[in-house]
Amino acid sequence: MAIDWTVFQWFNGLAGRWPALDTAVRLVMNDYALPTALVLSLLAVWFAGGSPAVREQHQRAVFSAISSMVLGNFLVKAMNLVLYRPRPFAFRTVTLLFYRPSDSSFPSNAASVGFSIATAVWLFNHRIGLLLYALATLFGLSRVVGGVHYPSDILGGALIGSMASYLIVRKFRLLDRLWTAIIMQVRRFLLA
Amino acid sequence: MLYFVYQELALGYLLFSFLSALGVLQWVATRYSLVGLALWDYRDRRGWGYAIGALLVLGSAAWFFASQWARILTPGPAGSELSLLFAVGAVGALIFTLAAATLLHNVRRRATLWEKGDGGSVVAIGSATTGRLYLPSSPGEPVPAVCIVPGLGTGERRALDTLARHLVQQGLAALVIEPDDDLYTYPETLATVPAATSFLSKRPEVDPQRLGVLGYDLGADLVMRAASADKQVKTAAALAPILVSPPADLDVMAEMPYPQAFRWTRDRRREMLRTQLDALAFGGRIDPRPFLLLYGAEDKLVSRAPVEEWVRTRASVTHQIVQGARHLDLLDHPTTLHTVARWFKERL
Repeated sequence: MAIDWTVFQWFNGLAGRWPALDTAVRLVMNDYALPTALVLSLLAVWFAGGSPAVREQHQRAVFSAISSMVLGNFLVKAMNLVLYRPRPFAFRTVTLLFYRPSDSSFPSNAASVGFSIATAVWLFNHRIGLLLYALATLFGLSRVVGGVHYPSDILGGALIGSMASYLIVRKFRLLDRLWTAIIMQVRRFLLA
Repeated sequence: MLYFVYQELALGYLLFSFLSALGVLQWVATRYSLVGLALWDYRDRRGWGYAIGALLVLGSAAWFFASQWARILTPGPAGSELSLLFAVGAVGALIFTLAAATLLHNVRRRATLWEKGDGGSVVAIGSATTGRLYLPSSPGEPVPAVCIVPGLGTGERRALDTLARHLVQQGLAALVIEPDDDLYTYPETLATVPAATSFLSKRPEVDPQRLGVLGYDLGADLVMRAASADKQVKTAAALAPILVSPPADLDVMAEMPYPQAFRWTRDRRREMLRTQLDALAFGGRIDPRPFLLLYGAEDKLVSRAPVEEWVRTRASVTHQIVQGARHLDLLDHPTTLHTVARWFKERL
């Protein structure tokens, strides 16, 4: 855990030095900016594609991303029942750019949300997926800089989110039929 | 129970979600040329579409974060509440976009509908069909003539007028069958083209040995079917015939706004008539007479792949694609007018 603390200190050391950077970090790390950007991307992905076949793949990605997000969230909550890790600011002096969340630091739910969306989309479209990975990584790192997570919390959340997406897309094949059925129904209304 | 913590923050986030989703939809409408989602005609002004999309997303974000900055950095609504607010905002934006795009499209369209086609003289062709006959001003000797058959529910009266006038300028006579819903009742519709060619061949201004037919949309299917049997027809042109089962998905909104697209895909007559006319099977019999098949490059109302396969095996068919044209604006596209006029002038 020493390396976790060292890396945390390096990132958190960036906070409190430059007001502009602090504002930028606050803008990125809050619960509204990047989660909204990620979900707006899903809205764009739904309509993206020059042919019905490509669009159907993208629409599967949207359904997979939403269900991965739910599964990831469920896994994080389940882990929180058996594991509680105090936040970095609980017993140490850190530069805090955000309010003091009271739930477990590990695993990061924010990272789980970001990476579940990014991985689900990446499994269908690498280009858009990479863009969403960049947003998810930025979201996770900003939480470390802002002092509310250790780096390992972000890694744990990212792993859980990505794993949830992998399970949804690659292992729960039954869901594929459900997505197809829903897409066909939505297509009847010309919205897919 | 839902708990939004700050009512003002929740309402602000709802508005932010609505406006940013509106921006994303404008971006998508621009990128994929979706008329049904576009608040403006972005086809020739793509930059505007992207700019409006970006402005809505970034502007609403700037407003939301500036107005709620203090609350954003304190414990607020949970993820489930935020998801609900976002979903309501996004669905609201979609409904608003579909409605506003329809309204604005109709306003723009109304401006062009005033320029309705009123050229030519009204003539009776057979017992139930009427048409407009366009003749060159002083032909001198009998001229070649083209019978033009409209589409089903495509509302192209003005475009038909434009096309007919263009043919007249090239020294040809044109007979435009009046776009009428009754035109497409099977099997009565099969009598339309023979009646029109018979009418034309009896006119003293027309050379009965030089008759051509042109059809648009389902009218093109009808023309292919008619030309296959009518040996008096020297050449035919089919503009965006339906031929095979047409697509019925989001792509239809690349041609028209949502309510019109919805009605279009649910018009059973179109599919029934397409099947009954079976133009693809009869089209082969036009051979060896020259036959022009014209499609818009951005036509989203026909499935072109099977048609292209059909064309490949037929030497007498000239297949051309009009760049930048969709299904509904193919008829009076400048390239179409030029191509069609040249086709008939050279072959009649």
